[in-house]
Order: sequence, then structure tokens, then C-alpha cells
Amino acid sequence: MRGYLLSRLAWAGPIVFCILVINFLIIHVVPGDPIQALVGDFPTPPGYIEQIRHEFGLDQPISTQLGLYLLNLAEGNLGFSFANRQPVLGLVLDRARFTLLLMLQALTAAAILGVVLALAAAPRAGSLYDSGITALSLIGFSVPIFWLGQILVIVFAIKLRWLPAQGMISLRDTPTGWAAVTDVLWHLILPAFSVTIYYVAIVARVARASVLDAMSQDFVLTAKAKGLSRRYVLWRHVLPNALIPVVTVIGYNFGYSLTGAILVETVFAWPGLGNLFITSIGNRDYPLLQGIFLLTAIAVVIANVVTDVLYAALDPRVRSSYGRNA
Amino acid sequence: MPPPRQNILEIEGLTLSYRARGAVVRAMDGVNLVVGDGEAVGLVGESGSGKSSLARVVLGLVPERVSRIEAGRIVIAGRDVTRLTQAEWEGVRGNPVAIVFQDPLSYLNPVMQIGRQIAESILRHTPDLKVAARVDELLELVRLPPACATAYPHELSGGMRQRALLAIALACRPRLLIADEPTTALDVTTQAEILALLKDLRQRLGMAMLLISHDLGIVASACERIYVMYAGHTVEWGRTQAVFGYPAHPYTIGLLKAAQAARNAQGRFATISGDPPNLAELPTGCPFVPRCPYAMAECSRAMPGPFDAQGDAGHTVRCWRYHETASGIAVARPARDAG
Repeated sequence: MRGYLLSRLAWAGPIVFCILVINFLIIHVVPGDPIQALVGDFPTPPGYIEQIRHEFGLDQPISTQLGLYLLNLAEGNLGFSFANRQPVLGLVLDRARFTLLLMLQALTAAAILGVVLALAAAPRAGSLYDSGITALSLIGFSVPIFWLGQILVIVFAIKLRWLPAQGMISLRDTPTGWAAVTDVLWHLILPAFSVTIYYVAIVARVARASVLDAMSQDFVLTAKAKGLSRRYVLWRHVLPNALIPVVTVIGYNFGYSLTGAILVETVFAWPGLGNLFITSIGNRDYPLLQGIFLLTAIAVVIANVVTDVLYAALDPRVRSSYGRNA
Repeated sequence: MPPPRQNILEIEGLTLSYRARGAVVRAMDGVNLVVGDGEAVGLVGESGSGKSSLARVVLGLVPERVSRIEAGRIVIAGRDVTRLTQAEWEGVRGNPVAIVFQDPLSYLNPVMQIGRQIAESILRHTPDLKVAARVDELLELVRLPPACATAYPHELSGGMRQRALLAIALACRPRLLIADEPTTALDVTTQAEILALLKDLRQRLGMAMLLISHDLGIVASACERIYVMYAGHTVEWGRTQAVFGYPAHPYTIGLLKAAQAARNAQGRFATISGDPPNLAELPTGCPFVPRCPYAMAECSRAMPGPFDAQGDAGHTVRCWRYHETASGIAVARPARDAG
């Protein structure tokens, strides 16, 4: 198990390095001049733009710039966001908390709810109940998050006035202590619901197929032939074998959850990374964009390592391929 | 006065059909089979003859939605189990009837330790406190080292997996053990070991066994009585010596000739000409007609018999011309004599 873990981590190192380099280069490929954006469209004295370019080191060869970039990263310096007048690292980490609050609960709820729905549907495959769950998950999977979000706002915030339409905290008063926590949770309900539906649908679809597949395996007959009850066979024999594809899909979607975050955070003005990402594009805030890319890419790498570790925990055959006592 | 020998399993005129994409396939048609308490019975037939369906239907393990018992009945230890619900089947499976399946890798749960898989059987049927000790005892019984308790199926060899499956079945303390092609997936040496183990265990534990195989030699060496199955029908049965010594059904005769030729390996093997029939389009009457050298007009009208073959008590055959076939052909007994 330890050998397996080390090998996964060893792979993560070079991948992160490649991400750093690509992340640096990609910004230089896109059109648009950051200095122009910084200075604005006003007429400037001759030599002024060149002077600023020099101050930021943007007139140096690209390899030197890359070296400086990596050196700065090593010191924890991700650059300075011109638009926000703040260091990138602090800003990104600050906003990442809010995105995690939204996305981690969505993925956790999806993992539990999706698997439970699948376990309920698969043994009755073809029944009305199963078809119902399949149809609902198809809808949940197909409805665009931004559309669902807006419908929810119209119904629950505007018409019914039950829940806040936007933001993460109430602006009129500033609650403290528990009141502050419940205030955030109150604001969380609608955005959380609109993303969760999507992930529940994805997990339920994959889990249903994978439970059905596991149910048709030969070892299930052996388990039944022992006289074990249906429910026991389902939970103790089918489920552990069905979980691997589910873990894959959740790990994979964690990596892509920034996409979901961009949509839902825009609709609900949720102050997370997605929101920050959209504004920084508008501002041509390159250091900030790079910081967001970097953080997301590293999050994907971490999610993959965690997924790999879960594989090994779920399937002894994966552990064995790295030596039983390694 | 000792009680009379009871039958652990009685199958009478059982007809089982599968529905698949509109077609109805008769996997078993009017099958008769009896296993006495403590008796070793063999069931032979080629692939697709309905052997495995029989093994599964006796435990209620045929897929519910596509299968249907159309006629006949199954009686296990005096209880009619023909129409049991899935929940009621749980009271039959494992004890009194346990099964060992064919392919030991796919029939073991890949993500559960062997010891745990054995313990499940123990806890289900004899929930005594010393489960760990009983697991060790069972591993020893099937001659596996104690370390296998913490091993996963993929870490064992084919023969060890088959032993593990056997331990799982024995942990239920069955009165009847069904062994569905228990040696097919193994190499010849391992086959012999598993067979010797099965025989030894059966005698020590006093349980009955239904050994299903396409290998005549294996069945002949391990079983007191034999049933021969063809295209879903039991076509001939009786004591091993009678069925293999004086076969009366043309299909049994063909099988034995083929086995004999293979053993002698002189020139071309004798074969049964033609192919096994498509079970979805069975002809009326005897299903062996298209391949039978003795076929006559009568054969296509109705399934004959069962008739008493008259050579040996209980030797029964389903062929109109059993008098001629039984007297006309003398076939030596196949390889690996009993005992």
C-alpha cells in the first residue's frame, strides 16, 4: 500500500511541473497586451509604456521570465493582481474556500444520494421505479445549471420570497456567531441545490449501470447460494464491487467542478473562484488568471491521487500489483 | 428399526423454459432425477444439454424474470420447493443444499478475503461464536494452508480457489452438495486432487453429492448412479456399472464409443455425427432423432418411455428400441474405474 501511494505521489511531481510551465506559456499565447490593459486607452508620453514593460520584466526573454516565475512560485509569490490591488495567492485561497463550500457539499451529497438511488433502482431494473429514477437523472444531467439556477431564483427568491436570490451574506445587517453561519447556509441553499442536482444525476447514472453489472457477476450467485439475504448480498457483495466506477466519476468531476462553479457562481453572485475567474478575464488580470489556473490544476492532480488511493482501498487487486507488503 | 433411506432430492417431470427476445428455449423437458441421502449421483451430458440449468434450478438460482417452471416438481428433503419465492429459497440455499460452481475465479468475490467469504456461510447457518476456529478447520478440511484466510482470490492458484469454493459450500453443512463441473477449469493433476478430495469429504461427512460433468471418466469413478442428459431430457439412468457397461440409449452408446476411442487413440475418434439441436426449435418426439442411427418414424412422434432396461434394477432408458440397442452393442467401461 505504501509503495503504491509513493508511486502515485511520484507521478504527481512531474505533472505539477508540466502544469506550471504550460500555465506560464499559455498566457503568452493569448492575444491582448496586459500593459495596454493596465495603462488604458489614454494617450501616454513616448517611452512610458516601454518603461512600465521594463519595470514588470516583460521585455526580457521568455525563458528568463519563466525562470523568474518559477522562482517566485517557490517563494509562494503568485504575483500581484492589478485589478484587485492584492497579492494573487491570498485572493485565490480566500475565494477558493467559498467554492469548496459549494462544491464539496455538492459532490458529497451526490456520492451518497447517487449511490443510494442506484442501489434502489438497479435490483428493480426495468420497473416503473427504475425507469423513473433513470428519467429523472437524465433530466438532472441535461438541464443546464445556469438555467435551473435562474428558474430557482425566480420561483423561490422572487415569487415566493423564501430564500435570498444572490450573494453569500446578508448586506443589510451583519450577523455574528451562529447567526452568521446560518445566514451563509441560508444563502447556500439555492446555488447548492442547482449544482447538486447535476452531480447526483451523473453519479446515479454511473452507479446504476455499475451496480447492475456487479449484480450479474458470478460471485453474486455464490453469495446467494450460501443462503444470504438479498439485501445482504446487495450491500456486502455487489456494492463494494460497484464502487470503483463511481469513485472514478466523482474524482473526475471534482476536477471539472470549477466549470460548474463558474456557471452557478455567476448566476447567484457567489463570491467563489468561478466568479473571480470571470471578472479576471474581463480585467485581463493575467497574474490572477494564472493563479486560478494553477490552483485548479493542482486540485485536479490532488483529486486524482486521492482517487487512486481510493481504488487501492477498494480493490485488493490494485494493491497487489504493487506488491502485497510494499 | 433404522429409518428408511430418504431422498434428499427428487425431480419429477421438470420442464424449465427461458424466454429470450421472443424465442422460448426449453432448457429442461420432463427431467427426472433422484438423489438419495448420502448417495453420489453423476449427471453427464454435453454443453447446452441443460446440466447447469438443473444445478441452478435446484437452488432457485435461475434468473427469475426470463425463466419459468412449466411442469413437474422439485422436492428437497421432503419439501416441495417448486414454487418458492426468492425469500423462501434463502431457507434452502446452503443448507440443506450447497453448490460448488465451475469457474473458481469468477465465482469468488474479488474484493473480499477468502476467510471472510467462508465465515459468511458459517454465520448464516451455524452462528456459533468460534467462527475463526471453524474457518481454520474448514481450510484444513479442504487442505488449504491457514494463511489463505486473509488472502484474496486473485492471490490463489486455480486449484486453491476451487478448494476455497468447496470450503464455502461445506461451511453451510449441506446434506446435498451439487458440484457443477468442479474440475473443468483446472489442469489434469489438480482435477485428480479435487476429485479425490470430493470423494474423501463425501464419505467423511456423509453427505450426498450430485456431480455434474461432461467427463464420463470423472463421473464413472466418483458416482454410484448416473444420469445421462441430452437436449434437456434425461435419456438414460441407472447404476454406474449398468449405464456404462450396458448402455441402452443410442446417445449414451455414442458418448461411450467416443470416450473409448479417445482413450485408445487409434486412428480417428468415433464421434456422434451431427450437432446438438437448437433448443429453441426442438423437433417433437425424441430430440436425438436427427443424429440417431436407430431412428424410425415412431421416434419423431413422441418422446418414448421411460422404460425399464431390464438388465439391472433401476436402469431406465427413454428409447423405443432399447431392446435392440442394449443387446446389439457391448461397450467396455470407460477410463478410471470406480474405486
